[in-house]
Amino acid sequence: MRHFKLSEWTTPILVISLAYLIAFFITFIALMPLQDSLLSSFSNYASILYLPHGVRIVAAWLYGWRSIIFLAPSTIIAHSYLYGYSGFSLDYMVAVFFQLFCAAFSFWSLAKLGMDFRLHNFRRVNWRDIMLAGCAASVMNVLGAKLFFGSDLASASARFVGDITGMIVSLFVLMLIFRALRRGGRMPGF
Amino acid sequence: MLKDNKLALLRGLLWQMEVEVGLVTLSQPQRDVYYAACLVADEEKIVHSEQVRHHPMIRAMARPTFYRALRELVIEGHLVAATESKNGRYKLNR
Repeated sequence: MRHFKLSEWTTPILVISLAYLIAFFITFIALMPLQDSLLSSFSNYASILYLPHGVRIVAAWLYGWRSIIFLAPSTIIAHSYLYGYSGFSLDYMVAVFFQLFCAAFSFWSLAKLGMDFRLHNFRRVNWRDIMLAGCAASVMNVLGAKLFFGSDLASASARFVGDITGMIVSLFVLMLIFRALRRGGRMPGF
Repeated sequence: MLKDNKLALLRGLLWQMEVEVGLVTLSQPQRDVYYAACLVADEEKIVHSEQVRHHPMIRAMARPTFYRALRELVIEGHLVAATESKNGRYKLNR
């Protein structure tokens, strides 16, 4: 049995929580007011550029089922920021549960269907597979939200669009960050 | 353990994205060699390394620099060996 190392849990929790919360607050403090002023029809907390979905997908890809634990603190903080105490009712908590499970379940089920998400062959295109898993996860997330928030079709589809665009944008931003780090020489070997 | 390095995995994924969206940048010698190869390639996008080396754009380049750039372009997949035998023929990969 592998020896339990605390840092193998605390580091990802810290990194993922930080990334998730940054993505979340950018979405709700910077992007949502902009969206509300441009497209006032989608209120109901459905952002059409929902960045945290990207964090969710990357975490699930790298850590599998463990990502649920890593994502839990930040997801609950974000949820309580949006809904306050009423957010802790059973219905809302089931929706949170869907948010946490959707990505890991999506990767797990696609892997069961024969997809390979490991990066062992550099010539193989891989990020499209990650995006596909992200889409599947979003469908499940939206279904969860629809069942338990009772949201209408318009905001459910806005959620789906938001998840996908958010994922693409956050991966793209990550790509640019890594690129800049490499250029700056602060990431030797990468 | 190194194979498990999450940062390396993420970096690999993002690097692939960078390649696919065309944001990978080549070094100056690599770019010169690649452009020269494009200029001397035939209809089937085949070039011979000596042809490229004698292109006016490349002539001033030191031999080791040229071959290093060529090798890097092959490693990065911008050029592929056209035949199994090492006869210096490459195909542009685009």
